[in-house]
Amino acid sequence: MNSSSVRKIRIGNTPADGGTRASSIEVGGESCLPYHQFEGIMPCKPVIAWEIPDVRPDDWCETVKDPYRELLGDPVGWARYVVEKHGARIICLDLRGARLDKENRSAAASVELLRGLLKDVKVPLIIKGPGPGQKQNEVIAACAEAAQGERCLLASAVGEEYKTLVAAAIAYGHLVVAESPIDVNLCKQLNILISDLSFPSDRIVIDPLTGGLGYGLEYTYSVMERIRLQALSGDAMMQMPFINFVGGEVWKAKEVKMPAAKEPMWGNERERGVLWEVATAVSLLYAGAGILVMRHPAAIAVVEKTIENLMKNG
Amino acid sequence: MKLTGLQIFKLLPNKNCKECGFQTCLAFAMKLAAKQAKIDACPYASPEAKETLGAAAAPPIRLVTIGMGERAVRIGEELVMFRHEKAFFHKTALAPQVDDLMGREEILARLREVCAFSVARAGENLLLDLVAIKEKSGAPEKFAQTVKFTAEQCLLPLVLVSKRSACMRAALESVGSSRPLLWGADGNNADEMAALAKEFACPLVIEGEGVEALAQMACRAAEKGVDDLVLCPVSSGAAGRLRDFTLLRRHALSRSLRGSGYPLIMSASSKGYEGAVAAVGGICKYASVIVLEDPAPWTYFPLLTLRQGIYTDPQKPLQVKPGVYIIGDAGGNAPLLVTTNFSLTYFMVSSEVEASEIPSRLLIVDAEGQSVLTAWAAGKFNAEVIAKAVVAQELAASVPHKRIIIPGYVAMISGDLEDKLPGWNVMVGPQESADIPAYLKEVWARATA
Amino acid sequence: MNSYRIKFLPSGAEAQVAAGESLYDAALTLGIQIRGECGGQGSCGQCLVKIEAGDCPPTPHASISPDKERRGYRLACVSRVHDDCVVFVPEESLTPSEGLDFDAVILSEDDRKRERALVGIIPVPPIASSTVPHPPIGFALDLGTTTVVGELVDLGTGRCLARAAAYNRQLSCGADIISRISYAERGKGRDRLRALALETINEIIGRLLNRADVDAGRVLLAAVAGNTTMIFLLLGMDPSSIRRESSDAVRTRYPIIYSREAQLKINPLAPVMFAPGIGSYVGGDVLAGVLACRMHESDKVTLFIDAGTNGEIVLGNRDWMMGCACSTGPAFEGVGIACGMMAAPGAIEAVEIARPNDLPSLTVIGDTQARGICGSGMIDLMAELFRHGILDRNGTLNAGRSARVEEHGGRRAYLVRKKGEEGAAREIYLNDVDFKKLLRTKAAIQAAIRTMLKNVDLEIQAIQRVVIAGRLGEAIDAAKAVSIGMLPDIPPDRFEYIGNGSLWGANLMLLSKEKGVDLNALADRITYLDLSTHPGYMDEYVASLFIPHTDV
Repeated sequence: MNSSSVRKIRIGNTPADGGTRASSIEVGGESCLPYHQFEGIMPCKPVIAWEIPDVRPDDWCETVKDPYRELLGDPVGWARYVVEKHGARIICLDLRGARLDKENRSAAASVELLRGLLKDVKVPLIIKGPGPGQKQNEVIAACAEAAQGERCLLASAVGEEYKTLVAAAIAYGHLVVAESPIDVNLCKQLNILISDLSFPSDRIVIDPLTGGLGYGLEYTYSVMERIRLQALSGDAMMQMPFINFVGGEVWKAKEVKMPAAKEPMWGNERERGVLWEVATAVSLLYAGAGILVMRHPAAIAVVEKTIENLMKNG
Repeated sequence: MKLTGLQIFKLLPNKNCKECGFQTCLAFAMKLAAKQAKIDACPYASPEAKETLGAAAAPPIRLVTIGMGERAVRIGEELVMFRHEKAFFHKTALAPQVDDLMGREEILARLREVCAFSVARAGENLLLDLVAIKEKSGAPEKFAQTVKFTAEQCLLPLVLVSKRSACMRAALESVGSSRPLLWGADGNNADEMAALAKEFACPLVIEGEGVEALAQMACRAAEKGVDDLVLCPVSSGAAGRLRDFTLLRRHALSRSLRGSGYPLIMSASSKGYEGAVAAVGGICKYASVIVLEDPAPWTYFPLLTLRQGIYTDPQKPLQVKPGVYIIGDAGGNAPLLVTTNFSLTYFMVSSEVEASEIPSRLLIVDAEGQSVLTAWAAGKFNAEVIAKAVVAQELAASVPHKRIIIPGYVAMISGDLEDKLPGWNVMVGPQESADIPAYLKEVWARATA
Repeated sequence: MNSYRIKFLPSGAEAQVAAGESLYDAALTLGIQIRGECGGQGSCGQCLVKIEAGDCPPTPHASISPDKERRGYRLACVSRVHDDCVVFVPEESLTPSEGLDFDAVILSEDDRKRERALVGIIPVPPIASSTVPHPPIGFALDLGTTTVVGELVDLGTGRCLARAAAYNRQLSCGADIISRISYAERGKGRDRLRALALETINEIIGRLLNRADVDAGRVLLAAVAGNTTMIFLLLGMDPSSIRRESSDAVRTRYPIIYSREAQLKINPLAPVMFAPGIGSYVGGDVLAGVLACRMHESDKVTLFIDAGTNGEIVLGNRDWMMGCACSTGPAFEGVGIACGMMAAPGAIEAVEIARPNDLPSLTVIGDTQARGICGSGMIDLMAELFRHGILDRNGTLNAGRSARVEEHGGRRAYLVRKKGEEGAAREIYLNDVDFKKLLRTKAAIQAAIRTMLKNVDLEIQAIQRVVIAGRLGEAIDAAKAVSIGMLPDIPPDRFEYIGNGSLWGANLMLLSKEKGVDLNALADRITYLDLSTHPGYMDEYVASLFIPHTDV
């Protein structure tokens, strides 16, 4: 890898590295714009992380709940299902249940769930905290400790509170997602601040903040292109791979929920919804996405195939 | 070669005569550099300056028009590789396809779908642009009949798809005067197709393998007097398409390959999701026309929404939609805060409100995407604007406590706002969003205790 | 110790104030001088203020009727802070600026240098004639948003006969230009602002005449340099257009008028000239500065920076010039910063910190006890704290790096002086919010410079000369300002300070008529760049909200 490549990062430790994962995942490492293998190398293909909420996701719309019906309140069973039946290579555990406005689950409850998941499911993990606030720090710190040595990806270091999450990642050997609000400069600033804490750059993943299709996708798209162009021109503080939390942004839009009966022009809502997630994800692939966090199995299948096609030397 | 503002300035007379409409020659030079003005506007420019600047200003990608009249489609004249560098200008035209082996009913059904499609979104009517008609029969008469029938049923400009010049000529006899796009010429029929395009004054697609060879074919067609060309590199797979489209666009913009300065066309041949995925790639990366060979009606809305986004002007400040945002489980007693629709402002305020863990409502008013102080300075975030938003959102009904928290930086409008919102209590919040949690926990709690 | 947020109206200035401190002192730290002949004894009754919000117990005094008391009137000097308050300061409670002893400070060494320079350029006495017994006198005025400075000049020799300075009395109606404009748009606001400007100026003229011991009738020519808003308000014109219209529309050209129309108390028939403006927020004061530093005659690419409440910048040379304004805010003038103050006696103007835990060594204007910190001191402090890792790149104080970082009034603060330390009369600190404001101020200037350079495709190193004008200039340590990114990183020998360029320029207007400097033509040569609508500026600004810069 030369000085103008994206850093290659590895998520998950196998027993050889002191963890208990059956496999690990690498993303990044490309020396060219996305899929420009005619003028550079792209050693790792982007991966899709399956989003598994810790509590029954009552706010998910029917289209995306349907494929998981009996699993909705059973995160470990759900994770096992997507790994076994759909070949999921990485899971994103969303600890939304710890939020005050959800179930306000305790850090201990999150830890218990996490332990169960680590035991039963052997793919690498992304652990997504409940979001900014005191609760985030408690939950993430406790989970980071419980998953010590597993090299999980912790989400997200954001705003002034980045230090707590980075400290947990340092203490227990994890990676961090650095989240900034759709802005090239703020993204770089956060990467510098995190690096200033002596955190290695090859353990940072950029979340540029994802806008769903029709809800600011194009801003995310352009910010990613700008960051990537700077990375390829040698800016070390921009050379981290991207993660995009696609599912959550897509499936809350009215465009995926509206029944065709009400808006006939919009077409069948199931397929429209899946395509909404696909179109968001595929656009982001063209902008350089490394990890896509997604929800619908049909959408994931289409995007997986798209990645295969794009990775073939044309 | 791209000239800088100062280099252009040195070519200008520096009279500051203002006749070009700008205050100074330097201001005019910067507009020229940004391609927002033309050298012709300067009455005193020397012939050398005009020559130098005129050549630099010619568009690197030709503008091509398909069809006539109101629904004519313009493609090309793009200036950048990445939309953030300036903007993408002429939207990718989507062309659902019918063919001459389809029955009349089947054709009619698709045309109805296509022509009737219209969804209003974010200030634009999302519409499909073209109809492609593919010759599959090999029979000139049959193709001509299908084309004629389609043209009668549908007012959209046409893309005629056939490699057989006899079929193409037969179709052009009936629709040749409406400037359809002819797809087209390849290594075998190039001369005949070019002759047809010239005879009927229609734009022509040139199809060929390999970027250099394709550009050479384009040059030959141009030499024959066909200037309105659209290029279709024959590539294998999504990665190959991306490579060829990228290289052609690069060559065109840098003027490094003669014959590359034309818009690009592609076809999405698969059904369902996969066809849509190909179109997504085309919209993102440099396709000016995408023929949808077998489109499902539910693909139109997502694809057109994507196109709308990719083709918006990225220089416009990132805005959030004005309205009331609920943070947490906010009921009637939850605090109501107001701020502007500049996205960074919104993100900062909403994340602090979230961090406070006090369910709240956030009223976002349309301040043209400016931050609080900038908007206030420009008169876009004042008592009047806020009061209007409060009324429009009918907050008097849903906010029984009738308290509204304004940003500390606009404390000076609190009196005005109380005048404009009789019965409301205007509270002055903190200047810094970081102080919002403390403010809500202390000042708000005390005020409502 | 507890502290509270006190906000003063109509200016909107705010401070975090320790419990028990008086409203009077709190106002003072913001540059709001409330009257008080009795020196805070609660006896003269001049310091009446009105509590608009928050709790503040009654302060019985003869001047406060029961009705007034009910409406919230209090004496500022004996009201001790114990709650967050919004305090309205009525006009009549504000001190006339006479009491402020900053003439001596404002008119420092630079002005004497300037005088010598001026004398050098006058080829022949321009207006002097044998028929006039005494040489005629000119009046040069720098009409600033915060500070107003005047001079009487001997038009025969160019010598300065007297100088005086005062706070602009309009300060009570808002600290910055936009606040003034919006004040002018309400009710009789415009009349009132005009009256306040005239009061300020005529009071200065009175002092000048006194000092020079000359008669008003002998002052036969006046030149005024000020930003567009200040001139509009002085002339009683509606300033609304300044913020609403496109900037090019506000390329102002003022006619020469008689002083009786302008209502200046000099010879009523004296012509009054105004320096023309370049754009909405780049006014005649900047043009005067350009004139003073003569960048328009030089081949060197010059960057002229006037870092006042409104940062104004001109880039260019004899062939081309471009000007822009950026809203820096009044932080560097001490307004809105907890312990900030103007560059006046008692203000810390330079700071050095040897080791993170050391007591900072300070340079205080007037060699007195430190009362607060002014712009140059703030820049020094930021640079020193950043150098020692006490201040993060994003302007956050790092608790672990220095024992002088403490929780203070619910915020993290760096204590420059604790009460009693080195005999300090009061505690002096800057907190996280102050540093954020300073960061924004520096970012506004840095981003404006970078945007301008980008517009003409020049690298930073292409700048051959940097001229710094304004109150910030004199004590500013260029190396430190460079280290935080506020000034461009170029060799130190390219920096130059000219002090009050606006006043200097006004002098030139008085004296150099014979040289034929056509100010309107000069203004026409400067291309205005409107940053508020410039697509690249916001990006540059965000990139500059980092020390020294995101890309360094």
